[in-house]
Amino acid sequence: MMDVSDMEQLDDEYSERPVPKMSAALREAIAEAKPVTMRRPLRDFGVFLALSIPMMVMMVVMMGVRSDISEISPLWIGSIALVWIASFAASSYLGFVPAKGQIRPRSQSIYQIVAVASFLVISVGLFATTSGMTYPSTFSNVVAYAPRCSMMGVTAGILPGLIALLLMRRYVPVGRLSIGLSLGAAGGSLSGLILHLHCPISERFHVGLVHGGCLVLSALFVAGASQILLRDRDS
Amino acid sequence: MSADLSQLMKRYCEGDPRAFEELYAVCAPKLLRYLVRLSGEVSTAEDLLQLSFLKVHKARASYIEGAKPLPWMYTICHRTFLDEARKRKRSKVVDVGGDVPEQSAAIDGRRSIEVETPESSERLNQTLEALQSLPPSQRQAVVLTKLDGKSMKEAADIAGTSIGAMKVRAHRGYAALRKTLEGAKQ
Repeated sequence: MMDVSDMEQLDDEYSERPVPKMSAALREAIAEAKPVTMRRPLRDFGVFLALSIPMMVMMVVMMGVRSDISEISPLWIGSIALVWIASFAASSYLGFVPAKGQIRPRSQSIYQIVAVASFLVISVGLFATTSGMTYPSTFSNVVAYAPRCSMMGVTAGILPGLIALLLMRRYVPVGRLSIGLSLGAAGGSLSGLILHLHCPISERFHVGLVHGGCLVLSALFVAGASQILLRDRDS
Repeated sequence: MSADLSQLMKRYCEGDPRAFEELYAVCAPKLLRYLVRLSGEVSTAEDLLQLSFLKVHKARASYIEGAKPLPWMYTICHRTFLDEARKRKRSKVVDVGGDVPEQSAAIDGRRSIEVETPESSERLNQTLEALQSLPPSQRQAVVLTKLDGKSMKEAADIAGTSIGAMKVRAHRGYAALRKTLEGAKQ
């Protein structure tokens, strides 16, 4: 009986085995292989920023800046915007750029950053909300004002996430879920920033759960979409 | 070595099929060894190897110039193994990752390692059986760190987890393996 400390001996047993020949399918695929453009993560990240930031500005301009902007502290507006921007930058960078020398995404860091970002934006909404236009925190108000922001937020969040996936336009055999989650969170952060600059409602549950929830919903939706858009199209 | 593999992968992405053959010649033995230890069957491992290389071929456009291709290939092999194990579990033909190891025929009908190497088979099979009894994540950790001699960092990169989590998995897997093998000894 082999002892667990003798397991290195397995190495010799397998080292002597001849390497199997390539299967006919693999040989055929290699013979037909065409040159491909290798992925350039930083360029993709730059293109994503160049597309999504003007899109965000355009949406804020089209929808209009929040009506209470003159009544509230620019410091508060700026600080909350910074939270959203940091969440956007971190999520999108991790989604596009793997660790140096690696090909697969940094899944652990992505899960951590998405969890921290979600917690942070929801907490900030729940506990650090201020404005000149507060609606009473009643159930009917929450229900009445939630659908519009939710629809706008999730749509504005999913769109950049999907654009980011399309920018990759390739089969990703491992780490699809984390890429999708991260790029969806980036889109959700951008939509949260749009809502922060547009929506004057400062009822804490509205800001925390609806605005913050857009990040979570976008991340989940784009993670689902990544399973389709980044899969092997032949199978 | 890594630099060479990166160069080969680059040449292959640029359309040189000979680069793939060289890449295959260097990487296939390592990956096959890894897959045999995961699946417990040589013939299954050979099939998984072909599937994995087909995935590498199809995913070559997601390669990043200068990156190390081998950890990526290990991850693809592991994913392929898990997918196949899941498929088999669903079809209930062969239980690759279950608690009770089954001695099964390979996909192509060839004999499994147990029959192929009769002299060395007993202790090898007992060890492989013990390995098969581990949950896939612990099995991967033991194979990578104890058998393939990868560092904790390399193993963590392949598994897509943190070094701390890899240490815990390897420790638990090794302890469970020791218990199983000592139990069998008595």
